[in-house]
Amino acid sequence: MEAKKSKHGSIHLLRMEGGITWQKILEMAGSYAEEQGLAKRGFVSALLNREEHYPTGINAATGVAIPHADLEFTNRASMVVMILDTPVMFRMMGGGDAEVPVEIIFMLLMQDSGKHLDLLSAIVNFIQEKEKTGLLKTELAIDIFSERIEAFFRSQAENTVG
Amino acid sequence: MKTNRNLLIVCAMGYATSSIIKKAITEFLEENKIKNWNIESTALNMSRDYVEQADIIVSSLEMKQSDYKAPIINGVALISGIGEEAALNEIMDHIRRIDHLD
Repeated sequence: MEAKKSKHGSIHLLRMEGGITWQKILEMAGSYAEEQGLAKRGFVSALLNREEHYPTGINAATGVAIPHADLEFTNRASMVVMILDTPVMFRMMGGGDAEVPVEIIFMLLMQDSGKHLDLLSAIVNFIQEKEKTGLLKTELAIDIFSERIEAFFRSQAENTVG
Repeated sequence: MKTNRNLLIVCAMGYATSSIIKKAITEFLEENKIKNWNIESTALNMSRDYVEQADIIVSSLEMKQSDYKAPIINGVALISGIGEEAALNEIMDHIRRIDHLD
């Protein structure tokens, strides 16, 4: 697992082999978020529990998933993006037992529920176009997200200080 | 035409997927000059009272239609972009039908 961080540390990009179960990959990602101080203890089980009952796999231009847990587990507004060499099967959002092979995972750690629409819009904008999801798999990925999204996290951090 | 029609968006946590869907529908209704519909989003476990008052429900998770009065539309297409137009048309058909009842 290779990790890169954006300049201000709110976006973490992990390159992972994949090819394992969604439970295993979320366990790895969630533990990483806890170790990095992005999430509070208990995040991993909250994340797994949520994904079990309300799956987040999406069949967009590329198969993606947007796992997240209750806001109370967020320590720092941030996002962990995982780029997988081999897809991981996720159950599809709103789709019963249907599954989708996922190549990019956006694990969201949100704080104020009113202020993250820009971030979510940026993600949606990315996942709807093959060209953009392709870009995410290159070395440029962290720069792409840093440019567009880091400012969002910084403004949120400033608002929540103290 | 009643002025207080309610379109309710439901997701598991009430903050992520529902807010994406809300943005897409708000823009769509503005483009179509539909002004008599309120759009709210909520988490599934908080929504019982809300749901009773909804005229249309758009959801990112599985909800059993037989448990609810209002028609339920799958909103995941508004996130993935695949089948988005069909989903928006379905919403518009329901809006027209319901507005026509008044």
